[in-house]
Amino acid sequence: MKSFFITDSTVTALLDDLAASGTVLKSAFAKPTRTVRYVRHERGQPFEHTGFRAAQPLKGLLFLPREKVAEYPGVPDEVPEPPAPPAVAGVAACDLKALASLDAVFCQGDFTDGFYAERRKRLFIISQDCSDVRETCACCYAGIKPYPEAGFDLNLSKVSGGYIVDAASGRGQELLDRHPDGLSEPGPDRMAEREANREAAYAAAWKINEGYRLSSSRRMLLNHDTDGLWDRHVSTCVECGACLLACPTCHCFLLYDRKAGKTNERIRTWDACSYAGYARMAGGGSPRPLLIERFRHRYRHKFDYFVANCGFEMCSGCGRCIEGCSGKIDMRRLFKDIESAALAESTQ
Amino acid sequence: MLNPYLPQPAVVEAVIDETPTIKTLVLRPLKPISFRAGQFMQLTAPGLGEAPFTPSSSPSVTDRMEITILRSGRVTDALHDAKPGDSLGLRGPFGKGYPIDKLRGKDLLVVGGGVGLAPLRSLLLTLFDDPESCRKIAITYGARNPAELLYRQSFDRWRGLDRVSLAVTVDNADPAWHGKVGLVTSLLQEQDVNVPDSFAICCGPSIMLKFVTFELLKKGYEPRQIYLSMNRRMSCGTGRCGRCNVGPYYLCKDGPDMNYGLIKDCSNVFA
Repeated sequence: MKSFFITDSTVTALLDDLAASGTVLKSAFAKPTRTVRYVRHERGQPFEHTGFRAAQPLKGLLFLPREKVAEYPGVPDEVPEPPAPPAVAGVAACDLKALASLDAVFCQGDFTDGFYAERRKRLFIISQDCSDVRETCACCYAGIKPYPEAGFDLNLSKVSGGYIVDAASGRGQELLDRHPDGLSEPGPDRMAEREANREAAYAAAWKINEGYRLSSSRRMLLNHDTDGLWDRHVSTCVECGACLLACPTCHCFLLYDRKAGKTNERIRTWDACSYAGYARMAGGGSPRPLLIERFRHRYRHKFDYFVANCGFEMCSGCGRCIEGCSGKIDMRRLFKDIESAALAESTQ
Repeated sequence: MLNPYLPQPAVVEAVIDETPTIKTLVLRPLKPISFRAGQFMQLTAPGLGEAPFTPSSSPSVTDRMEITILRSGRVTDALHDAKPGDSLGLRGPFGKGYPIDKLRGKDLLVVGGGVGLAPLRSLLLTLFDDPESCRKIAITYGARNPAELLYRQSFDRWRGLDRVSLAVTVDNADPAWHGKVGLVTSLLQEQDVNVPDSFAICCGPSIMLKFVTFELLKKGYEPRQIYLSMNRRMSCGTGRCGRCNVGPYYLCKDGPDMNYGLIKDCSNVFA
């Protein structure tokens, strides 16, 4: 991967180029707050280095919150080609890892989900290194670094006077090739500056998460049952589902049908396993009638079952579940408390 | 790319009243559907929704499919109201189906409860058609009362087949009933099967599966010799919507019949 130095004006030119053939979203501060959101890029407007992930998970661009997935009877048995998703700039490393989780769910197995897969292959991603590590950031906790290493088309690393840009795909390189005048050698000083920035961000992430560092696997801790600890952590849950809907890896959905004139539509919407009705069967029975069972199920899915099926944890460490929880539930504190209790029991 | 969420039209050819709460729909799909016994279909009541059912007919017939339905909610109410000529929708088949290859040359103990005999009927018809399939097929079946016994008109024929025995019980008898009274678990110990060289396949409500499993373990079955048709809410059929899991397994793609040896340590197995 060859790195180049580009100025702010070249970044704008790259976004303008993409905007010529479709919508471009870019991360930006929702002033006056520090909240970062994706906003539409307008031609000629500068790109703002936020250094922090956007509030919206990327899944909403590929696996829509609500979408018609079938109309019957009388339509061909094929997925209609969905409109191209917008190109996205300013994507953080955690959200790239989240896409890998979604890819494993929607693009593997006997039935590829064409709605997701068609959008996914056309999604152009410009990622960025994180520099603004916040209290809810848990990328290092989830096993990744606060800067992208793969899974992007282009990545931007903020350095003095501009950015270092890397292309990790053919189409990313093609975009750069269309702007040769804006590219220059980064030189050893800027490369060293980037490395220093990255090390500082990684250290900052670990500084925040040091108190949550585990010596046991989360998978093993999940089955440890001790002194009402799970009850204590779930006691503030109001079952709003915010943790699951904001999660960039959660993919559960509901299918429902409705009449639409002379035809019928099948709608897919996001769903959340913390809802009491989520797994309820005809006749009223449920495998997880209690909130604590649903609460534990969520963690088992992410840190046990998904590992068994896909080989990695279904958590990107983005911290949205912590940030969005009105009950102030923090999975890092939960796992740390379980481990502490387990260690205390083993030494008794 | 095929759309896994789109149902194909299926015309209702006949409606069979099986019991006061159970009907069988004979469906003719637009295109023949190949399936293995134990795989399930999503049957759509147009505009209302869909629900999962394992066909009760033989997989050897692909241009007709029988689906036996217990009235238990909004969608099944609509399916019970279906009339010959109505158009419904079918998606599937989904899941793995019964482990028929493993049964070859073995004794098989079949345990059904209520409408749970419907998927088992597809298995039985498959096994009846193949003389090499099992050494012995011991069928045990229980229903709430005599009126709720499913496929009662087939019982004499099944009993007359080589290799096959059938024991039936009801929870609550009526004056005309001269058969056994009690839960289906009461039939298991008396079944003459060579347990070490046998499999048990069970389908029924969760509470029945739980106590049948305990009884089978008491009879000497190892967990790996027991297959259970698990009860969960299956929706997408592709292991993605998330709600039909038992531990790491998604019933809609890994089941719905699960080897008890695989799931016995999972949480809430018999929920």
